Amino acid sequence: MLGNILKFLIALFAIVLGLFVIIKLVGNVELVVGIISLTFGILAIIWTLKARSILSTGSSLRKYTGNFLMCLIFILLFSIWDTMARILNFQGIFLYFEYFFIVMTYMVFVMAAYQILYLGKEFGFLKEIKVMKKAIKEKKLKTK
Amino acid sequence: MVDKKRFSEQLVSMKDYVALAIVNVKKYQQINVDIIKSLTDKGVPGVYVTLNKPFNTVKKFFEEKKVDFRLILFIDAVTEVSTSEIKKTKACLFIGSPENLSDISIAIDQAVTAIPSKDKFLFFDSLNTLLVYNDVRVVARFIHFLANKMRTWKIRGIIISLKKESDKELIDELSQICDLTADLR
Repeated sequence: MLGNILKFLIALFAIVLGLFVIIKLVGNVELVVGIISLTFGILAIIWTLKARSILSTGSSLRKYTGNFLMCLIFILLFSIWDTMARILNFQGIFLYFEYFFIVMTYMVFVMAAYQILYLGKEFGFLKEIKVMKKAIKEKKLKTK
Repeated sequence: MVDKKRFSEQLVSMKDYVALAIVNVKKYQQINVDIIKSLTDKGVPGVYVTLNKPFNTVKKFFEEKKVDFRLILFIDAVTEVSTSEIKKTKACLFIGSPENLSDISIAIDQAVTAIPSKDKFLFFDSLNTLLVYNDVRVVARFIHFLANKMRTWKIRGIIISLKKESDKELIDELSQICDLTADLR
């Protein structure tokens, strides 16, 4: 337990120190944060793609993972465009692409949220459990 | 391996196990009903996963034997549903295909954890149907996963397998991870 905490603290210290050195070297906090966010986004996409490839074809979870992947892609595109806009100082019509990506992200988020609502309804057993509780109670009374 | 009588007694008396029952095709339905009836008569609720016979057929058998339906959550992965989506009725959750192992896993997880009792069962009928639709390695992995889940949940887990020579290797492998194995031919 203590060993794990120590490992975590060392890792955290290494990350913070690494970030500090990068920021010092590059000298632009916004740019560094943007690039680091991108690496997280790419990692998330890789993990989601891996998960999607393992899940059964046509399964509800795979479909949900597909939607989640779309969300990640749009938010990554948004981050890329935003970072580029800061570096290259985009003006005018180019800024609209940023709005498009963020709007698309939210739209796909809504779709994914609806899908999870549907999954909750389909896989939830709340109604059946009410009936079951009653039956268990009856059985217990009978055996007493 | 234990005999039928001793196996049935153990299924009722023990509370936390993973059991593999190898049954004869002719006696298969009767054995299933007997096991479920012995558990539900004791007031043990559970989940019945059918991959072999459609829910309506299983229901008829259960009605004839006066099994208390209210104590069972049914998951049917053999009845084809009109759309590719899963379908839920008051009595059963239809997955649509035995190939869809991801949805079967989610359904089992949700059903078992929803049951408001510490003492519960999971009846998996049957291993062989999975082998028709999935690769043998995938099935072995799935059953390993299921057996581990059963142990984590501390429930009565019963896996049914029809006696077939072609599935001997898999059955031998699964016997090693089960607490009880019975040849009920």
